[in-house]
Amino acid sequence: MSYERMDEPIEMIVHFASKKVIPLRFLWRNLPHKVQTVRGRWVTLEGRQKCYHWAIVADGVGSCEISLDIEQMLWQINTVSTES
Amino acid sequence: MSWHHDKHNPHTIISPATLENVTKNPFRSDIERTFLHIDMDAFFASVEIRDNPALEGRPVAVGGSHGNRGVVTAANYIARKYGLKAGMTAVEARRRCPHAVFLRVRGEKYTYVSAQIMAALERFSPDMRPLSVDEASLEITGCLKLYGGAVRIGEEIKQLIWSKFRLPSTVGIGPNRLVAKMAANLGKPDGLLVIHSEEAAEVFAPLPVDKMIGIGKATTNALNGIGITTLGQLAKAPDRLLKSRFGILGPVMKKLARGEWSGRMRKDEDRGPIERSIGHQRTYGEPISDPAALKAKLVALAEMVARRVRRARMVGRVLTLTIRYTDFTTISHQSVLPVITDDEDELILHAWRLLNEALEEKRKVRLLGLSLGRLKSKEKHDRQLDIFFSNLKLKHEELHNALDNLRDRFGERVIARAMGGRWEPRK
Repeated sequence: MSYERMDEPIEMIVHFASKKVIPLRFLWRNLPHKVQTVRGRWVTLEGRQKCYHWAIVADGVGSCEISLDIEQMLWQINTVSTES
Repeated sequence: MSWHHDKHNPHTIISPATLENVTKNPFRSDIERTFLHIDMDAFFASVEIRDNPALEGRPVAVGGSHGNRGVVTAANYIARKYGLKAGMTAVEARRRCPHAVFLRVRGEKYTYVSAQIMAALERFSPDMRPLSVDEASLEITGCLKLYGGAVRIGEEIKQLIWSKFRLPSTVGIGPNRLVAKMAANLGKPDGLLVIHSEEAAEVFAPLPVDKMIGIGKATTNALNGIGITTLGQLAKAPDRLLKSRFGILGPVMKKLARGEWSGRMRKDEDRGPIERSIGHQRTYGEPISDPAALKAKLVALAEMVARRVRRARMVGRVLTLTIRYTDFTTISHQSVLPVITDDEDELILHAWRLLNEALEEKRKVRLLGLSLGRLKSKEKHDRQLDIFFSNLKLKHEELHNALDNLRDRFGERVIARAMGGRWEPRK
């Protein structure tokens, strides 16, 4: 098992609830994927630039990591877990 | 000793028919103080497994993901069955468990999760001290009545860490921080262990001496050399023998072996800056023997150390260089700097000098470390500027401030020195 680096842009639908951002669905390579579970969430800083990360399990993708760079308002799928 | 551990359902806190001896009287008058130690189980690996359910049930190692380079920084309990442990080289780990999943270290992720856990623990006691990224110690003497006893607090903490963060942890409870920490070590994984003061010596007695906190490899060998292999033997050893062999540390170790610890663990804000040091070290996947390459590595280390020293508003006087060769021989060289400083140019200059003195030709270096010690507050320190170079120093300070501001704004990688052995620090 390994992680494949993607860093590809995605289009995202999220739910804002009680100071939390909950990822719901995303469009990647023109295919829609539903987020089944959010496993973890963390924040990284590059200087003052904040980036939010989520470890999720999504339909048709499996375990993967997505992120939101709030400086550029850019959603990305960063890694996908593969069985290779 | 009370053991709270349910193997069949490890994350459910068991309620305690088995805990009668503890819960009958949770406010025991014979324990003057009560401490609780929380240790996250295989923390880095547990975070990764939480984030990726496909890792569940597999041997997982964090670190050593780049082929045969680097070291393992954490291994889950399945991987540990194959002998994998923190600090092991990736080559050795892959040899022992080729089917393990080796993951990249995600320091920022673990630090973030750790900070969240520590913040959650603060509500249990005003005296909560994070000891590392995955350990914390709480004095709960004053909170026993509020929560209904030490075991209740331990259970609540385990429950909270599991329900909120989905991470396993072990709790140790004891009459001092040492016994609490030992209880956590003995209670792993996913346990809750209480050791009362009167039973600490008995619980520790059968353990090998290296299980005691603070007794390392060299001391273990020395103790074994005089026939002391267990903590029970150490607790009964004659003071004269220990004193003659280990000096004042001998009787201290004997007290530890009995579970007696009068030491005070200071809070960060109580620590005097004089004893503190700030340092960095790096392990290199590909060992390096070329002195120019090592000098370039030292430049990067000196920059990181100087930046942290400046951020802490301190200046330091003693520079220590640590070199570990591929055969794991480790040497340290120290130098008292001519001026107290936070300037990386000074650090680089003296680090290079130390490297020239210490480096054995043609030996391959696996790890380099650099630290600045005998720190003082920059504000309090009466800086004696050399009148001939004060302008130059001020310009340097302005330059460093500008660089620090750039890095604060855009991140550490925004600007770096040109290296590769061509750059020379000012003399």
